[in-house]
Amino acid sequence: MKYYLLTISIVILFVLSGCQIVPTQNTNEISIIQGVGFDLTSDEKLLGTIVYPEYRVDETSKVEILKAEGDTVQETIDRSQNEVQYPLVSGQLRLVLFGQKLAEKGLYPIIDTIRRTPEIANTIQLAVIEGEASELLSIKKYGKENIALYLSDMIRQNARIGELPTTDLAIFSYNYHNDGNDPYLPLLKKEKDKIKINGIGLLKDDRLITTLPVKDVFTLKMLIERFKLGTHQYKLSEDEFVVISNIKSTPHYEVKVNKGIPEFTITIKMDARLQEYRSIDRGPTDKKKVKQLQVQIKNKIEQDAARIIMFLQENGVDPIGLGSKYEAHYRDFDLRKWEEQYPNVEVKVNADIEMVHTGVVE
Amino acid sequence: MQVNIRHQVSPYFLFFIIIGAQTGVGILGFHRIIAKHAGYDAWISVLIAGVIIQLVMFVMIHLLSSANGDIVDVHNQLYGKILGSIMSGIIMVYFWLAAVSVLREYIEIIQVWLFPTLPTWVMAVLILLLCYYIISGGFRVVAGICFVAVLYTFLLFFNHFNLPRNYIHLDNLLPILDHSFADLLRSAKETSYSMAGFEIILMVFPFIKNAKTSRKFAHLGLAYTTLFYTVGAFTTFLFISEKQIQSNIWARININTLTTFSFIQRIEYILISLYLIKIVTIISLMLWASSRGFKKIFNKKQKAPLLVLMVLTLVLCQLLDNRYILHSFLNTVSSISLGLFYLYIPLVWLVFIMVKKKKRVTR
Amino acid sequence: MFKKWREKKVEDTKNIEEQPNTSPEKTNWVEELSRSNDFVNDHTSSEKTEPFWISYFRTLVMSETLHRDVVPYLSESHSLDRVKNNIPIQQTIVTSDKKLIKEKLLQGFAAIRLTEQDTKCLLVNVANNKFRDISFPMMESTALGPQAGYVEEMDTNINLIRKHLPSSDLHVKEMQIGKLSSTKVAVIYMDSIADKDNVETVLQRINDVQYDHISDSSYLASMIEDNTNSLFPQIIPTERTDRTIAALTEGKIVIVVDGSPDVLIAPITLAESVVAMEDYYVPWLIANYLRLIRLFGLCVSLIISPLYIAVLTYHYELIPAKLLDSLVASRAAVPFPPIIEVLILEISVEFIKESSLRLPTKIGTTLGIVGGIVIGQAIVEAKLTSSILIILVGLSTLASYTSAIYKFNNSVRLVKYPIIVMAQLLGLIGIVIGLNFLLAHLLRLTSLGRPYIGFYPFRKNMFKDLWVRLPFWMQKENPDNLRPQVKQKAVFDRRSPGPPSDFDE
Repeated sequence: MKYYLLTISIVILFVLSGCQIVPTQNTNEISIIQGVGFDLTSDEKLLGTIVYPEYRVDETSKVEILKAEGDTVQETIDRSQNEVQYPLVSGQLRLVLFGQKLAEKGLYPIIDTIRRTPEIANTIQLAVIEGEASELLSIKKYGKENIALYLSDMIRQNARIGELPTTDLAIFSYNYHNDGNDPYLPLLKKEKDKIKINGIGLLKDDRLITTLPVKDVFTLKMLIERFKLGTHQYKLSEDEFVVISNIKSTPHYEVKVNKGIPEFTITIKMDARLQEYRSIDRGPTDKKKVKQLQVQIKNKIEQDAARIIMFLQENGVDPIGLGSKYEAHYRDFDLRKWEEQYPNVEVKVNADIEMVHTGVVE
Repeated sequence: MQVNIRHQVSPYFLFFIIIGAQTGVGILGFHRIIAKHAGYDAWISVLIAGVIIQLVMFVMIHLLSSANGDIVDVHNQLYGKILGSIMSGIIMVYFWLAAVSVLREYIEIIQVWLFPTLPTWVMAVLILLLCYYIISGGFRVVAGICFVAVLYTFLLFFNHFNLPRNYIHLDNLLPILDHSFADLLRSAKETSYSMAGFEIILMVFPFIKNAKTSRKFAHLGLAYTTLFYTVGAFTTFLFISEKQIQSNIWARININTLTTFSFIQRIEYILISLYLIKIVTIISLMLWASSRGFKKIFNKKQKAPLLVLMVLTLVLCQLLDNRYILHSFLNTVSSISLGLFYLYIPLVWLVFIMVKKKKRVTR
Repeated sequence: MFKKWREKKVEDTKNIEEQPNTSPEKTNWVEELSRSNDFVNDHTSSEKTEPFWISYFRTLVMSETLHRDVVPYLSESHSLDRVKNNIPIQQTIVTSDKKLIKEKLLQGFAAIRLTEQDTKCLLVNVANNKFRDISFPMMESTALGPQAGYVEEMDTNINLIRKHLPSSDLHVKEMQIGKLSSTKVAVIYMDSIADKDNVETVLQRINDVQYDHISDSSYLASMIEDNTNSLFPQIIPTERTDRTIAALTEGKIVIVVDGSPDVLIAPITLAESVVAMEDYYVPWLIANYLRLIRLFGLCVSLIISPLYIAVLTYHYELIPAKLLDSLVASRAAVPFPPIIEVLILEISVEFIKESSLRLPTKIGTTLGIVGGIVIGQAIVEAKLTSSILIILVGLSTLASYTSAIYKFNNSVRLVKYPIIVMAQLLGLIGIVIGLNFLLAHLLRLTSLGRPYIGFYPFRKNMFKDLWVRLPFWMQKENPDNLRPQVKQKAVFDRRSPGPPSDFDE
């Protein structure tokens, strides 16, 4: 008897609350944001560009673009909200783009907002745009493709099998927060009416300092992370090219502290496969030849790496995380002192290339 | 005061009950708290805390088996009826507060991650109803829920070893032992709240068959939780840098967002929801213990104190309405637990042993 | 209020107990029974003073037996004792107890008296027991294994059991229950294996049953179950002989009810619902695969519709990007929230199932096709539900019938609805709360006082047959949850004898 009363009272309670304790987010009554871009306007305001698909009956979905200005991220969304049928929600966000000007001024306020929002995943892709994010997102050609998904897949695929180092929000915020690491983001560029990856944007704290061109990205990736797959071309002489396909590449770091000044030795261990070889010499790629190529590629990598590291040191950015390696090694690590030391520390790079095979022919 | 054998459970259930009571909301966010003092050496502090709780558990079981009953009997034998009841009452109030803290913390997680507008009382009522249903089934059902919840912790344990290559940084943990021993101890103290819950043995003990000879299950349970927390801290530190973790309230949830499948993503939503069973386990255990204690103190049917406690839980949950109040409440509960179980109980044990010896001598 | 109600109930039961004493005992049983037109009260010789008078229910007796084995012997003898000795029927009673006579007549005995006024009479069993022949088990069919299903007649059923277990250990305890129906009930168990407590409990509970009529074993099952308000059957009916035999040898108790082709097995666990007898007729690996499929089916049918509601109503974050397009686009034009959508489909599936179940097979099949295909198609085209949901609900309906026990299937179908409501209220959390209530309920349930859920309390050997079907030589023990008196099965281990041999020897 008592139980009936209890059950009935609970049921009544729920019915009275309209069978709805929390507001619903019924999928066909929300506008699902899939990508956003932020730019800095001439009067130092944020220009937000929102990409969301609109699902229609008997039609393929159409991607809508909204633009609005505001002082905070939320304001740009609120202003955009005034133009849409259903509430904008951010739980399916896949891509956040930053205009170059904004990136140079600092990204932290936006990244912080994103991280603060629980419905946004940690795996979303971030990228810096050479030029304006809003311009890039509104390219007509990608209107049917859903540009947000297109770009985030593009970045992810290029990181998985291409030259780009893996990046996403989680990695960015790790690098941002960790002492002795500087974040890096892929750099996209609009060229005519196409979008392409145009290198890596290097940041100090949350500000874009400089960029690294596409041809150096592979070498940077070798210095940063352990990875499989990816191909790279080396120009050995005027008309001799070799392309190797990476099977497995691992960087090893060695830190020696000499009178308070660290010295780094980075050894890149790489198993590779000969993918393509182009030269006047049409001879077979036999053992001797491969040995010779191996040495040449090794030298090439070491030169490239040394040059890139020099470039990084000049700009005072540390995407490789030499500082964190130093910190892990050295108990009396002092961040400020390290930042003074960084441009002048000695970094040696050894490449250890093992040509595992040359494909099905020799 | 022996419990009818029909209500007792097999000795190995001690293992599940201890783990069930220990692994609470802490798993999701204890990393930040323990890293406050000892930084990323804090996983060593977890091991230290693990050793300390083994000692406390030894003391508790020794005390209970020499009194041959639960803590209420101990107090009654030691202080007599009135003073004993008061002392037992304090411990029962602690059990209740522990239940409230777990419940409210879980509801906070839900409010932050899933439903920002969810009224606290709705969730509290639903969980308490569930707990009432479980507790009214008797101790065997409570133990059964523990069993299932521990199966879920096994799943969580293996989840720790999901280490996506690009996201982990072994450097985070180096250099090892970068902090002083005092810092490690301070962190170990902070761990104690996450590891609290094993004090449930004070009420559960008489319900275990051959409890005196099966203390190994309790120690095994503690060892498992210690391992769980150590591995949890260790793996979490691999993902998140030392500075970042201070801003991560629930580090473990953040890490789980990294896992995606082709058919479902945001596993952490499911994980948080499934977490309910752990919460229900702890609340059921604590409220069961508390109401049983009050039942013995006031000589009432267990239903009466249980219902009163549940209503009070509801009221208190509603009062703790923002994070800052909640956190100072949690700190209070954790200091009470420190005082009660790391200082008071060993003291009672010493006195009890001496009194017993004296009695034996005078006879 | 509750107390008063209970007191009243106690009084009611008292009234029922007093009733039998008020029935008229004084009237002559011949007169009383003659009010029914199928009661025959005949005189066998032409002279009124000569013996015999024979009375029986025409509709209850086998007239062939009566005319072949009783009537011819009447003319040869002049006393009841002589008749008793002469007739070739063994079940005979000489009595003058009116109550007993009446009872026996109603069971198909014939009463033979010397004169019409005699109180003493000879009762001969000429009952017609033939219902139908043993046939295939209809509800629990398997491709392999014995195809003998129980029938509506108790003796045949017990005969089937005894044939398979010719052991003096097999005890049969018979009783009668039902105020009006006097249904015969037999409790069968292996005396040396079955736990004495369990047997006691069953006998006690059956004895306590008070009801007008027991039409089927399910009546009895729901009367002696531990928790009658539960959706889950704690005593399962089966029509397969092999299932009962296996149950008996493990130490379970089997209850046969006259007039019901379903035999009851108790105590059982949740695991039994995913165990089909066919598991033992196929290699053990395949059997385990099938069991996993069934278990998975149960989970799917329980969870898939609520999950759809939860995800599409609250947690759109959970949908992967690639799936979002098809999932959201498919219901872009649906005017209802997901819960209404799901309820429309789930309930129409129930309609189809109910309507085709109550019709002859041929019409039923047609109806199922019309309902399933035509309505399903139309509903999607009319944009009332999304096409993906049709797939999901279809799957969950199929999955809800994977269990080997029909009674359990029904519970699974109903249990889903509260979870659907919870999913609408609180999304994923709601589902988990619902499942937790379910879990707590299962933990609380007992079958004859033994835990129902099956994996708790944890016993090692439970996994050896209850949840996992191992090769026969590894199933050495009877499951502990039944508290069998004999722990070990007689197991032949092919591996142990003989000297050890290497690969190539």
